Amino acid sequence: MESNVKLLVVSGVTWTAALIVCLVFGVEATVAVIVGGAVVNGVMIARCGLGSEDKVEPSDDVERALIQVGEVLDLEGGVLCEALETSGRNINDVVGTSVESLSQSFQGLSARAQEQQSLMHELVAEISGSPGDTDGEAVTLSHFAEEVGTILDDYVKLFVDVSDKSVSAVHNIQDMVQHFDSMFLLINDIRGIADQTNLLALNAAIEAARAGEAGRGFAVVADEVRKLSQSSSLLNDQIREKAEVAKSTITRVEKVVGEIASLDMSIAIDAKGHLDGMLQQLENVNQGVSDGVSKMADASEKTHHDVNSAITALQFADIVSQEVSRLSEKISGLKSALASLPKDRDQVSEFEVSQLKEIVQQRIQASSVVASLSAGEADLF
Amino acid sequence: MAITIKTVSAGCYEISLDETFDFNCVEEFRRAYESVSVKGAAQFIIDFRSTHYMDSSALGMLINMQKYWDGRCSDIRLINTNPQVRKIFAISRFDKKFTIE
Repeated sequence: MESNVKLLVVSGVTWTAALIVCLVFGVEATVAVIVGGAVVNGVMIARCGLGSEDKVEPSDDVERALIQVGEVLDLEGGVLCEALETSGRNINDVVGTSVESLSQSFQGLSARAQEQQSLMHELVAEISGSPGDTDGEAVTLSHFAEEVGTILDDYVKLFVDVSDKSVSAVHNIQDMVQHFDSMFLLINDIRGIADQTNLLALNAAIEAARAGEAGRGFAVVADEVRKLSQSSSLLNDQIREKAEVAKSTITRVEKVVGEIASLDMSIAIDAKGHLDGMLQQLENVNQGVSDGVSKMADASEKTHHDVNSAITALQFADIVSQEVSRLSEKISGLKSALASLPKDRDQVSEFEVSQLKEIVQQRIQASSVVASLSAGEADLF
Repeated sequence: MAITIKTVSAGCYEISLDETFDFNCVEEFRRAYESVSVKGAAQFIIDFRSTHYMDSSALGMLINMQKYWDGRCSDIRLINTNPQVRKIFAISRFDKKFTIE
């Protein structure tokens, strides 16, 4: 009885070990454990038979043990193998679907990242004005700033020009005033001549009166000369009057021209200062935008790269599904191996330990070939 | 006497300006540079030491002076300019027409 208990324990331990090994190490090891357990069982059964010939009925014990083993194998083994096969299929399905949808998502992500990057580059070109775009139609900030600067320069140049011309005009006006002054001197001279003529005519009239009747005709001439000198003096006064009006008019012109020439430059300086400040700020903003965008472009580039790595990594899912397929195959092998195990005592005698060993060897060889093959495939990635 | 002219060395004359260099100085300034004998001048130095205000007519006066001496004396230096005055010269691109110190 003690050896029967031992047998049952060994059988139970074998199946438990087979389960654990199957989950942890794979099918090849499981087969080995099951077969190993069966061999140990067989040896123990044989020893029971040899050692207890005279004590108990060994054949009954062996038969019962074998029937139990058979039952356990039929029940547990079949169900387990079915469950494992189903799990394998499920894993394959789930992994396949997930990998496909993940792959699609990542490809979409990669496309968006590239789109974002090109949009950023366009934006920068739009704002800062690319060097290739010089047709003048696109209004860029730098182009605008340049235009404003040119306009201000032209404006300053214009009033420097105005000032130059005005000062030149003032010089001419001053020259003219000088000429007027010398003209006044001449007018004074003419007036002196008229006065002297007048005095001369007066003297002539006196002399004519002294001459009596003989000088009467001369007195008329002297009177006429005096009249002429008087009208000459009158004309002289009128000329002086007009010339003075002209001089004061010219002086007023000089004043007006002076006002044109004298523009306060501080407005231009302030404008220029403000413009320079704005240009500097614009430059800073441009620089900031440009930096930010290039950083974003870098980030997009990195995202693109990461997504590509992820897609590459997803290809390893193929290996997983291949492994699962192999696992299923091996489980099928295990199932058929279990099915070919002897069911009763008569068959046990036919079923030799050497046959068992052969099956085990075949399994191990087959699995080692697959293992080396899969290792070789893995190297390809 | 706001604007003065003195001979620094043979052919070199220095014109010292007043506190303001504007339209009121047109006649005086012209008289100063035209007082120099046409043949004798080689260099003019215009001293802005005391000048703190100047309007656009100053630029006109300087251009007219340059025109007057054009071909006879092209070396006109503007010295001791204060920042405000220098700014005006910079904006009006006078730094390309004159030597400014």
